[in-house]
Amino acid sequence: MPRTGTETKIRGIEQEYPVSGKGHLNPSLLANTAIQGLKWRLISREVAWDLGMETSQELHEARIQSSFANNGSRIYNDMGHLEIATPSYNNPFDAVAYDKASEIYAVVGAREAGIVLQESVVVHKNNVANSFGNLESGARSGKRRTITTKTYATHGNFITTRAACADWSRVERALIPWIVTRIVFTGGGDVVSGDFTGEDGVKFVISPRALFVTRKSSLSTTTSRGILNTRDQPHAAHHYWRLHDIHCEALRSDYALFLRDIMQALVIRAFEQGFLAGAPELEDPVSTFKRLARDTKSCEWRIKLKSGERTDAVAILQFYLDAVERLQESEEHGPSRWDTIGLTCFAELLSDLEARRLEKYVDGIDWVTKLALLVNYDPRTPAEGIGICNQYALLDESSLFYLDEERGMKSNALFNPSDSLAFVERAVPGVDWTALPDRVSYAVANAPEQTRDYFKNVLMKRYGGEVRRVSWSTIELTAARVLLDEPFMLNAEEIGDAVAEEDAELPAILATAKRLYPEKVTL
Amino acid sequence: MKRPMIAEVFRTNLEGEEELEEEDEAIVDEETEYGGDEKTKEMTSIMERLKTREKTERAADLVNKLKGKKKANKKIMPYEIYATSGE
Repeated sequence: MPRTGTETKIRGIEQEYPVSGKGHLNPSLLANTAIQGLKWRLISREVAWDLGMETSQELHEARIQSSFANNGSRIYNDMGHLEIATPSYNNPFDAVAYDKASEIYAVVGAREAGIVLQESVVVHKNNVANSFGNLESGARSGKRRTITTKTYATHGNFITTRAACADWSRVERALIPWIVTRIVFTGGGDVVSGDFTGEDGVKFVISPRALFVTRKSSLSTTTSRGILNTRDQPHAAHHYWRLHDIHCEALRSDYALFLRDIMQALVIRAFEQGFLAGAPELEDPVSTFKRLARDTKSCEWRIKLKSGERTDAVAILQFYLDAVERLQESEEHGPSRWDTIGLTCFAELLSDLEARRLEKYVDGIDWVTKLALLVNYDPRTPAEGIGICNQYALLDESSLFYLDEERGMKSNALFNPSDSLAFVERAVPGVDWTALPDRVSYAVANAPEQTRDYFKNVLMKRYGGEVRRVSWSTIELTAARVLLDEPFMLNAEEIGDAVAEEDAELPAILATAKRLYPEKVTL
Repeated sequence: MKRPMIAEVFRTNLEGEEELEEEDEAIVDEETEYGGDEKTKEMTSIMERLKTREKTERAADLVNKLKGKKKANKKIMPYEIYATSGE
């Protein structure tokens, strides 16, 4: 099948999961034990990560120990979090399936850690942890308790071209208004310390991540965070650029995961093709980002443009909708079916957002669902508000819903996978969502067939003992080194026949790969 | 276990969809034109239109609208998260 539109773009998600124990165990110990647990369960294996191809611009990343999961994910401890980076896929259905597979890994890892440590160990999918200072003494004395909010991230990765990003001011002009305003449907929602808003207690915000941004662009992901991240690490041939988006958010809703993926891919494609050159410029993107994130009640989402004119976030998103429509009209081979479905859904969403019919998006947009839970539980203390948001983010049986529906409904989590699935079935009718459980089952055990990860994963699973090192764009075996620097090379379409038989000989497979890519396979 | 291929998850053919020719390249080469006066002018005119769109009252009392919209008969548990900052 020829790839068209956004199917030509590989992408993936890195999710940092906080693993917590009741005994206040060191987060790094918990993350490491969860990683070990995944190895004991034969879900992953230790692997030497090939840093030769991935010179990091951030020092701590070079010291990370990696393991490789059955579906091609990279699993590691990144600054005390269990981090799972999905394999690359090229469509929004897989964006949902591999996100859910990642959740399942996190649940299994946390449970194994609990068994080993003989502690109650839990794992969450969100982007902030709120903690109280002097909880006991403060409560007794009636003094104001300080609340600290820490953040960890969900990073999105979309491949684009180096040429398109050569002039970074062009990237800023085209994408900053998008990243700032898209939070009205991609926001994870959570409560953060009132210190961010000069209030007591906690405050619910659309996007907790927005509050940690200090500049338009930066390299660092831990301090001085930018709206855009400038990391130059393509994980592919030099002519590619990987847009490393550090403000994707920890989402659980199938609809939000689907729409975020397809719209992000469409916007990046519109950017590459020059349709975003006239994007509206925000007067002060950083403060706009924070202000927008805090506007959860009246939802006016006001924006001041550099030109001095005033508009709102939905008008900015409308610009991107129009740009993508023009992109699709210009596609020589037409848009992909995903693109058509995605654009239709986005247009419907904008129509509702324009009228502020947000109540329609309970179970579809995570921040709206969390706010609805807060409204209806009506917490009386900051701790209760934090608890409600944490319980939505709790990964437990709710993450196993796609593997075992009955078990999935026995969850303590406030996220309801059944309601989420029902929402996406209504809102995205062009997709057969009854196929999602099978796809999630597939995604737990296999890499996507469409991308280069397919070949790497087959070799790792069948000939793991022969593998010396891997990276996103290489695999080095005792007998050969394969440079996987083109996103779709050696996918199932290309190499599937050669690996179809379970007992296929490795030399024969490598010979086929060499025949297809003589310059990239060194025997 | 059935392992759905991605091509199988669409419900129906969309109207007006055209089958692609077999001989099309597997990876479609992309025309690369970064901007250009015409595109910039076109998109700028879109922005002008958006700025002048009809002013309507868009403020929403979302909290009020969400009352009764999400019921969960689950007890709130003290799930605390102990995490480091950083990524």
